Amino acid sequence: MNQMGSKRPPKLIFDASSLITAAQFNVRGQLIIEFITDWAQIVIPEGVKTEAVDLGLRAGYPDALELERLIRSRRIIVEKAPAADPAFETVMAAYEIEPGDVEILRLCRKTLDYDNVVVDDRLLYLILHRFNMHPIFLPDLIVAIVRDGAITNEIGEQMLNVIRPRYRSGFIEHSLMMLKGAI
Amino acid sequence: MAVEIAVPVDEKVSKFVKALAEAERKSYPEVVRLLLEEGYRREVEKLHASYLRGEITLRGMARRLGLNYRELYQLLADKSLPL
Repeated sequence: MNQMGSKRPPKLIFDASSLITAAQFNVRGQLIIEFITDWAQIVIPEGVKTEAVDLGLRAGYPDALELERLIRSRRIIVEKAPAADPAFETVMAAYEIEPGDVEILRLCRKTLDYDNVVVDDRLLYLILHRFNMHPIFLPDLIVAIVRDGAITNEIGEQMLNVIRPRYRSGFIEHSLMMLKGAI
Repeated sequence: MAVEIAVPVDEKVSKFVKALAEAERKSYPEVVRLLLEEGYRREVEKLHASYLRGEITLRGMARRLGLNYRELYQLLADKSLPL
């Protein structure tokens, strides 16, 4: 998981949908996002904070309160994602994606020492993959945490099963097989 | 939250709505509402299919539906549409 090979905690950039999902579901009385922040440092761009926290608080979602608490305690760090080099920005413009999507890509471009970007959005995953920016779906992040020994296989399976309603058929089954070591 | 809207429509559309209202024993406004909601449902499904095919992002889907990101996330959850 820690691709820099150091013993520091893994550093993860999170997109909004994965962040919201991880803050909505819990296992054994603990939110999935808390298991993740116990294991890794999470970084999000300002736009993701607006989408997941500010808009969530305005609409009265309890998960937004939890995310705000994690930001206040600096278990989630909010960073600016300024425009990058001209070549990168030219490619961004050509993809015709939304400003919030571009912010994720810019933050990955700017942050040299992150390990993975956690994203469930299909097109965004594809673009991040083409930039070799190490995208990972939330279910596969859960597998990675189990493999790193930070949570048990049983807790990992429970997490995958509780988030199942948010994923297309096949995603969770695939990750469960990965946990079992069958794939 | 319900919002009232007044929209001028073509006479043929109006006749169709009246005929449908009679046939289904519903009021004129109720039939208009049902037709609008059906159109909206189809648009959501069409955009979600585009999203699943990797043609647009969730943010792109939200913008096209006139929703913010949180509203879209909740809409997908309510309709059991996967991320």
